[in-house]
Amino acid sequence: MLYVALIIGTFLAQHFLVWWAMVFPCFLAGYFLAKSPSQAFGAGFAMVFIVWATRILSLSIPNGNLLGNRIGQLFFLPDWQANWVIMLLASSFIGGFIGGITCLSGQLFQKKSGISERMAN
Amino acid sequence: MRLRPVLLSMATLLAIYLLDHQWGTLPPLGRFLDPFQGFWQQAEPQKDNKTENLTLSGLRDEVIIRFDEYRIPHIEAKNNYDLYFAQGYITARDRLWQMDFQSRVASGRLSEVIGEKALELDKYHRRLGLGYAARKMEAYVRQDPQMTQVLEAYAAGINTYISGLKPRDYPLEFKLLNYAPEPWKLINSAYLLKLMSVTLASASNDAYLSNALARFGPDVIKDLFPNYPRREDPIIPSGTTWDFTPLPQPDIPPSRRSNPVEQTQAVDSEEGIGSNNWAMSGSKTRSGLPLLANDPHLELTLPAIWYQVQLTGPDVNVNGVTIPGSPGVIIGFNENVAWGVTNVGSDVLDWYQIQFQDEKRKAYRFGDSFRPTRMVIEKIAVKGKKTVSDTVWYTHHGPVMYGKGEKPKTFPKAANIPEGHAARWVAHLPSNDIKTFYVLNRARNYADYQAALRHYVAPAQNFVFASKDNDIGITPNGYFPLKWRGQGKFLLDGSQPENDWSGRIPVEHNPTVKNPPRGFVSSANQFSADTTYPYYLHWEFSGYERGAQINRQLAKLSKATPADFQALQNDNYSIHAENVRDILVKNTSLPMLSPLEKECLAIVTKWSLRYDAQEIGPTIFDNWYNQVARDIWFDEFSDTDYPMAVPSRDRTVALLAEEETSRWYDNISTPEKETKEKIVTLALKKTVDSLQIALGEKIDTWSWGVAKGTQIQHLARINGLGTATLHVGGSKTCVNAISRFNGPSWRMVISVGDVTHAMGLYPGGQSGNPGSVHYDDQVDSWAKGELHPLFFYRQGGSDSPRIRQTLTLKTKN
Repeated sequence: MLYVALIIGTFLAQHFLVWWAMVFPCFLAGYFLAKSPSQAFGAGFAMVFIVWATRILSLSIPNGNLLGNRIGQLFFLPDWQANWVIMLLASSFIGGFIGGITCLSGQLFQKKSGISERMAN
Repeated sequence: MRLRPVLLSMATLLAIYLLDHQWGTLPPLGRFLDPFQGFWQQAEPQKDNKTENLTLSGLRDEVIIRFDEYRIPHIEAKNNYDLYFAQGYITARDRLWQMDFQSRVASGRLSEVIGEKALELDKYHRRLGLGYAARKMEAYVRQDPQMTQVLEAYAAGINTYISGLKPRDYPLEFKLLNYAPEPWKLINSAYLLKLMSVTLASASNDAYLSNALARFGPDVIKDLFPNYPRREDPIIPSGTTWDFTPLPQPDIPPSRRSNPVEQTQAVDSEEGIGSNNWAMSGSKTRSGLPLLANDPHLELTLPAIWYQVQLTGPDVNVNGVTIPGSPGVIIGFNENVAWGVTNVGSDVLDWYQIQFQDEKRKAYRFGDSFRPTRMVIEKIAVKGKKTVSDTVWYTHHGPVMYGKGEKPKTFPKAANIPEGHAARWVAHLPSNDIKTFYVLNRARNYADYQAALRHYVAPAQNFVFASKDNDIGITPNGYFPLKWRGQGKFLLDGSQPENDWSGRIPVEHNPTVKNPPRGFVSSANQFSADTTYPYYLHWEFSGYERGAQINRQLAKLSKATPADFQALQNDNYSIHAENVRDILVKNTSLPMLSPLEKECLAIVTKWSLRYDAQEIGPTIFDNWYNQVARDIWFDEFSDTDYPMAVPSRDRTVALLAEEETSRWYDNISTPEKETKEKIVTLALKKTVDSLQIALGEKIDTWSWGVAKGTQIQHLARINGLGTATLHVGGSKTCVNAISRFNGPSWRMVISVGDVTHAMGLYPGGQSGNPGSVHYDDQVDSWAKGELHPLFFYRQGGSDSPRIRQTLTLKTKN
C-alpha cells in the first residue's frame, strides 16, 4: 500500500505540479502508511527515484540519449556516450532524496501523541 | 513540540529552496533535472509522427506543412496572411529561444535575463542607436500596408505558438538560463535586421587610421593606406561602361582634419565575415540553363544563423533560407529565378567629433551656431540588480556613442570607437528592406529583380541574380552616401557643415552589370568597381584573392555543371599563398636555419598552395606569413596606448614583392638594421618555435585541419551544445573561407528554372533544440563539402517520398 501510494501520488503530483510537488504525497504516505522511520525514508527515496528514473528512460531512450549526453558535457563531463546514465542517476537521486526526507518527516510526525507525551512528562 | 520532525521538515524546505534557485551560472538544479518539467522534456523522440493536426485561432484557412527528411518545412497556404502566419508559427516551434535571445541582444535587454555580465553589451547596442533604428524602421514599414500585414501575420503565428506553451515545453535554453519567453512584437523583426547591420556594416577603423595619420603624416598614409589596392579584380568587370550621368562630386573641404584620439586597447578585426556568390549564363553551362551559387560567410553557431523554408501561396512558390525572426526568404530560388547575396563593405559608418557647448551637453557646435542635442535615457533592467539608467546624447549626425571618459576599459567591442564622437550610420535611416525580399520571392525576370533592389537600404549587399530566360546580373546594392573621395576615411569634425554626407548616390547609379561578355558574374566582398566608377564607396574592401580565384576558375568552364560550382565552393586554393610563398622562400637565408627549420621550409616549398585539412604546408605558411607581417609593421604601428591601423595584406604583399629595401623592414626596437631577408628568415624560425609549442615536436601532427581547429559553438557559448572540433580545410583567403569560428553559413547551387536540381545545406540543422536529431544533422555533410538536393514542392504535384511528416493547421473559426 505504502509503495503503491508513493508511486501513484508522486507521478500525479509531478505531472501536474512543480518539480518538488512529490513532497505532498510523500509526506502523507509517511504520516499515514509508513511503519518505521527507516521504512519511510527507504520507501520515499526508492519510489520517487523509480518514478523519476522511469520517466527519464521513457523520454531518453526514444531520444537515443542525445540530450542526456549533451547535458552531461554542460555539467563538465567529457564527451562520453554514457553521460546520460550519470545524468539519470543524478536527477533521480535529487528526486529520491527529497522524497525520502519528506516521507521520513511525515512518519516522524505520526508518532506525535506517544512520544511527545512521554517527553512532556 | 518535538524537535526532530520539525527540524527535518525545515531541512527539507531548505533543500528544496536551494535546488529551486539559480547559483552562479548553473540552472536551478531540482527544476532543471526534474523529468516532468525540466530539461528531459526536450529529449525529442528520434522518430517523427507521420501526420499531425493542430487547430489554431487566428488562421483564416487551412494550411498544410510538409516536412522533408531534414525537417525543412514546405508550407502551403491559400492566402498570404496564412502563409506568413504559418511561417512564424513553425519558425518559433523550431527556433523560439534563438529569436528571443537575438532580439534581446539587439535591443539591449540581455542583462534582464543573464545579469550584469551583459550590461556593457546592452549599453553598446543601445548607444549605437539600435532601438532608435528599429523604431524608425517599424514606423516606416507601417506606412506600407502589405509589409505590415506580412510582419503582423508572422508575429501572430509566433505568438500563437508561444501562448500554447506550458513551462515544461519551454526550449532548453530558457530552462538553463531560467527565464520565460515573452510575446513577440513586430519591432523584434526590425531589431534582427538591424543586428545584421551591426555584423556586416559597422566595421570602422577611422580612429586607428587618424592616429596613424597623426603619427606618420600624410605621405606615409597615402603610401601605406592607398584608396585602391595594387591587386584587384573588381565585382563589376573592368571595362563595363556606366550608362548614367553622375552627380557632381562633393568638394573636398579644406578644413578636413583629424584629431588623434586616445584609446585603451586595439583589436584585430577578424577577416572571415564575407561571402561568395556567382552566376553563369546558360551559354556556358551543360544544361543551357544558368547556374547560380552563393555561400555567405558568418560566425558559425548552433542553433544555425539560417532557417530553411519553402513558402507556397497564391502568388508565390519560393524555397531558400531566412533568419529566424524575418518573414519570407532572404536567399533562395523559385521556378523562374534564383538570387544570392554577399556583403558590400562600403563605408557607411562615420564618426563626427562633437564640441558640446558646455558640460551640460544640451547643445553642440555646428557651423556658426549651436544646435540642441536630444537626451535619451536608456533604462536597462539587470537580473538580480537595480535597473541601470544610461544617458545617450543624440545630434543630427546620430548618437554620441561614448562621451569623454565614458568608454568601458575592458570591453573589446568598443575599442575602435572614438570617445566624444557621434555615429553617422546608414542603419539609422528608415528602410523597408524586407520588401526587397518579398518582391524577389515573387520575381519572374530581371526587371522584377531590379525593382526589388530599390527598396533596400542596409546592410548593403551584392545581389547576384539569374533567371531562366538566361539573364544574369550582379548589383552592389543599398544606400550609399554621396561622399567626396576619402570622406570618412579618418575621423571628421562634426562642427563643420561641409563634412556632412551630401545625400545618397542615386539608386540607379549603384554599380551593376547585366549579361557581361565573359558569361558570368561574381562577388567575394572585393571592390565593387574599379577606379572608373565615378563615386566613392570606400578606400578599402576585403582582399581580392577569393574573387580572383572564382573568376579564374569560372573563366575556364565551358560546359559547367552544378558539380563544378560545388567544387568551386570547396576550393582550398589560395591566391594569397601563390603571391607570397615563393617570395618568402627566396628570401630565406639557409645558413641561419636548423635542420628542423629546413625541413619546414622544404614542406612549404613543395606545398600545393591548397589549404587542405591534411596538409602541413598551410599550417607553416599561414603562421609564417602572419609573423612576417607582424614583424614588418608592429614595431612602428603597434602601440598599446595609441592604437593605429596596420597596413593591409594587399600593401604588405606589394611591399614584399616590389621593394627590396624599405624603412619598414628594419625593426626599430633593435640597434642593428634588419633587411628583408633577415626579417623573413627570423619569422620562419619564430614560427617553427611557436608551432612546436602549440602542436608538439613532430611535424607530421601539424595538419592544417588540426591547427585551425574549426568549431561551431553554441550561440550563448554553452558547453556541450556546440560541435566537436571539425578537421576541415579552407582559410579566409580561399573560396572555401572556413576559419576557426567563421565560414560558409549556407551553401547553395541552383540550376535556374529547373527546381529539381537545386542543392544546398548549412552547418547546423532545422531544430534549435539540442535534444533533437535535427539540431546538427547537416553538419557532417557540410564538413565533407557535400550538398543536399533541395526538395521543391509543387502544388498539385504527386507526393514525394521525401515528405516524412505532414502537419495540417486548421482554423478554429
